[in-house]
Amino acid sequence: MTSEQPIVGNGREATVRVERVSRWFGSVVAVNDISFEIFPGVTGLVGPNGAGKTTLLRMLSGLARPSDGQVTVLGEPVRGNPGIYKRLGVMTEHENVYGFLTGRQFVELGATLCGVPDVREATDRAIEIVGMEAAQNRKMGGYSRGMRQRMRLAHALVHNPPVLFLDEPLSGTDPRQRLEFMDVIDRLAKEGRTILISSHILEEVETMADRVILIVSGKLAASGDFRAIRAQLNRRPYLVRVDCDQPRELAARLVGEPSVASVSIDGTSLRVLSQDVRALQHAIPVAAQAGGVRLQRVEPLDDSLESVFSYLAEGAGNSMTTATAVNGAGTAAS
Amino acid sequence: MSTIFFLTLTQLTQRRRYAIVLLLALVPVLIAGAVTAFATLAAGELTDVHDAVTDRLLISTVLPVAALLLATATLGDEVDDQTLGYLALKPIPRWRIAVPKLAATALVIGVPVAFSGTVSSLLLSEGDIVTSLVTAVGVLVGAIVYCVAFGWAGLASRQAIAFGLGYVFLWEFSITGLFSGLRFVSIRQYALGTIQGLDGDRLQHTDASRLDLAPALIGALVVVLIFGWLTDRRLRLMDIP
Repeated sequence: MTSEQPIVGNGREATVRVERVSRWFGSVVAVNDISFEIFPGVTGLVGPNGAGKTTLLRMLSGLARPSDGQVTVLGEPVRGNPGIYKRLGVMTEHENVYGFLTGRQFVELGATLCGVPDVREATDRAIEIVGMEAAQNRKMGGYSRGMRQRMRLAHALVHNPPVLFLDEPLSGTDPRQRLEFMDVIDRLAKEGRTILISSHILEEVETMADRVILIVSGKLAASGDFRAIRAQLNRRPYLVRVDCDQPRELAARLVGEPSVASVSIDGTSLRVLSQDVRALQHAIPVAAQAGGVRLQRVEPLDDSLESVFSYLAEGAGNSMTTATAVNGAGTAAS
Repeated sequence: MSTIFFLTLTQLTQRRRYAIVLLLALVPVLIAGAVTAFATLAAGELTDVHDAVTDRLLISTVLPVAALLLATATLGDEVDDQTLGYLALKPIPRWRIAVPKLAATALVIGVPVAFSGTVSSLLLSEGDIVTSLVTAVGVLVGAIVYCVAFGWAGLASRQAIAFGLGYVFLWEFSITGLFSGLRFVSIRQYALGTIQGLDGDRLQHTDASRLDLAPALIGALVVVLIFGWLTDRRLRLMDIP
């Protein structure tokens, strides 16, 4: 990789600006009036499947045209501005590659098309970053999904761009590769890059991103500091099923807990509704121990990502469009 | 641009469709060889066969079908395979993607079909090298124009093959034969006009109403420029998958 590209970012200035962007396909609104800013560091673009993440990322990358609104990267419009790709690297969601090329040839292709002065050195560095030296001379058609993803990342960053957009980069990787991938992302971010990672797995993004943009049904549900949004999530209504040997005894003890909104008994199990998940996590074992109740199973009934997003979206109502990314402070639109 | 040019050469020559193109290109040579080896023909009859092989087989069938198979795939398959993004997300204007891809396609199609034309003409003209080379030039002109037109069709529509078949068999074979003025908008006529313009003795006995050399070359150039511009425009305006 060459070093002449300045890595932009003092962490205070937005490198990506999205202003009232919408995209509709006929009568279907895929992305609805979204505005936010992205700063140097890792930002997660999160939402359930079909939320509009990929459409939004494609507009951010210049691959798709917004029906309305504007996207700028490093102060320049993206759409119809090929020059921006000297400073922007994109890894799309599609895993197809030129299977007849070796991994090295594929990365060299990216370096050459980006006009990198020393293609060989840049290719060596990019392949080293993703840890694919051993397999670089094998045809990509024979790569595993995880290997392809890593070579695609090398292709996207071979020209040392200060801004990187990665769409579902961990898709298809095994647990070890995930850890390595996250380590690579962390190192790249520490160099001052702006990295946007999309994923439908909240926990996946949580380990990498400092800030997060939550998209639900094409709308911005929340954006900002990950921990602030997490705290907001912890205050949502939370339904838990508890299997135990004395459900009436446990119910009686839980009803008095401030964190418990309601308790219902269903045979040998309880259904506990709470507004404070952290307090509930503490209250259940304490109540069980105090009453001599033997817990058999504690299971959240609506902890799917979709329910989390639904909660945020419902809370957001129609005022979601005002949510903005604030560097360091979370805004869950509500 | 050479990077995309060589990438496209590799892409196209590794496709199964390319084997079909090579087999198609072999047909005129086999027919010419069979006629030369087994038929006893007078000089005039051999000329008729030569013209028929050049016009009906080489220019009107093998060349457009070969172009249809490969040129529609040049950009169309990159859209279907979702690999076009690897080129579109680079700091190069879109015409620098279109031009090398279409040039590589014209080469991949033009060389085997022109070689086929050269060899079949050599056999049917009793070794006349000039006649053979003129056939190759006509084929190459046709190959370039077909590739640019069908390359755009592959990018613009998922029904590019149907569009191409309609163009070749309805427009070229039927409609342009009904109205002689339409020969100015016929790729087949550009190729035939080039051959006859360079060698006035050729194609005297075919039913095609041919163009002179200048209108043939100008027409070919205009079509290349129009479809080249349309391809660049499409690449700039479309949503890249």
